[in-house]
Amino acid sequence: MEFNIVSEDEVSREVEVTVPEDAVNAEAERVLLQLSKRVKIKGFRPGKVPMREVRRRHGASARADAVQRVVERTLVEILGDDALEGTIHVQQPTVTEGARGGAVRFRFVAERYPEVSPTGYLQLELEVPPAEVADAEIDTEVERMRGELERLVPVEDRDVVEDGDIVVASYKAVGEGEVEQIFADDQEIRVDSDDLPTGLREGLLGATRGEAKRVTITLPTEFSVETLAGQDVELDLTVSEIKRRELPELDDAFAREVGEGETLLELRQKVRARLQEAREEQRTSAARTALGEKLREANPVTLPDGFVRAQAAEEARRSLGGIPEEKLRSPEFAQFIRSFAEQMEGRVRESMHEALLLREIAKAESIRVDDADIDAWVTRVAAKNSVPEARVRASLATDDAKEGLRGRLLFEKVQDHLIAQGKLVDASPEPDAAEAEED
Amino acid sequence: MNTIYDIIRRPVITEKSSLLEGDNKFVFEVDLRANKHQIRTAVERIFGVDVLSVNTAVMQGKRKRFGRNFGKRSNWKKAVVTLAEGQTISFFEEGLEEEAPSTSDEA
Repeated sequence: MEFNIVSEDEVSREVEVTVPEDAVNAEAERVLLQLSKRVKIKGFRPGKVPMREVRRRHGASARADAVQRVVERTLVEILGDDALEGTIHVQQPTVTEGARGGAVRFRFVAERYPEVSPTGYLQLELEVPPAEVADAEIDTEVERMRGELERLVPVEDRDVVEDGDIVVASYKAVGEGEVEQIFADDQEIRVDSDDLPTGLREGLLGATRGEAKRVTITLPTEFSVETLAGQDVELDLTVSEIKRRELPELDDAFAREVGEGETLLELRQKVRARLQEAREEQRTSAARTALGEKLREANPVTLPDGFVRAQAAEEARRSLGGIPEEKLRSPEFAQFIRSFAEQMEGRVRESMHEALLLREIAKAESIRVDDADIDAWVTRVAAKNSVPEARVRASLATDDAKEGLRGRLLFEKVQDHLIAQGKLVDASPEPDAAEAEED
Repeated sequence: MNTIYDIIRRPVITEKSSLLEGDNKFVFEVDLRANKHQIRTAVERIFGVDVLSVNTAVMQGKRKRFGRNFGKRSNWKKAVVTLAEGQTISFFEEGLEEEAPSTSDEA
């Protein structure tokens, strides 16, 4: 067996391999011999078919099998060669000669990681949410908690529906045919809800308790009965009850009711502490995301496409882990996994890019993960989940699990190191709103 | 039965016929009406060989049952053709491969 590298770039090497005819023929004979023992041919007892007959009938397919076996075996041998050190992924080999006879020649592309030399990774400016939780955020959170304790109380002092009310109404569409499907008895409707069909809110406002009213509404375009979607429909509507939301008073009793202290002040302090804790996590997460973006931007690399696609497919399969194997093997599902993997490719590309850079930075900055780091992680995870440390440690029983964790911790250490070296800059307090405006 | 190609229908390839090849005998299914002279001529012309002798036998069609009905497959004529020493019929030779079918077809 001979091989030579016919072309090479930063992340891939195209290799051409020649397997001598004798080796392929010997493999084909082995395939035929195995076949002759189990092949069933009319006129022959099982296992008594002469090799000549087996060869005549199945020689071509035996040759194809032999070529495939030879290619696979040779590939494994070649990948152990020093010349192809660092190979991380092999694209499907292509047989260029010898599929039907003679010496077999095939080509394959061996991919490797690119050489990276990260630069500009120190003193980075990273945008993160502000460290301090603003009073307005605490107000919003307290209001949210208040909303959860709202009660609906009947309106006694008026019979006319006003904005903000919750009404109990019955309605029935006017007309015959499919519109007859539109009716309800004693349905609770929030007048200020955004989900109401156009016209219903206007129809409800000003309606009088106990009196029938005819209103015109426009059904949504995604209405379940297709022929009626987007159509105007008249409803005979009667409001039987009018209720209003009643929020609890913001006082010490409210704090006691939600179980967050004895006084409102204490409640606000607890809310602040909770939001502050969440904010710290947000800041760490945002700093890591921003760090990744800056690192990738400053250090563009070429990634091995075949390997990226294979990883994305693997990720897609892992994400669909709960789906039965036979369903995964079906052609429709194969197509689904392919499109899912395509969507995932960008994410895999980003994380691979970042991982390559972080690994090199770890070497440059002499950052390592030792047993003490693992122990600290075990203690941290056990405390967070309130489980014994032994149980967390048991999850690291295999070498793969341990190596995986080491890799993750190494990246985290590098990230923490770079974040500590960098400068955190407060971003807009409401990044979502800012993004929405940009859009 | 107009031409020599109507006389020779197909080679018979079985365990037994394979053993006969050791004696330079080749087995064919032939037209039921063909006589030994016609078979000899047909084999000699089609395969370009010298035939020493032809032995024939009319094989009785097997009785087959189809549910509650009985049927009978057609009789057919088998011809064992002995070739002159050193000659062979290339169809039976090694190395002439058919397009390989899947093994399930052979069952």
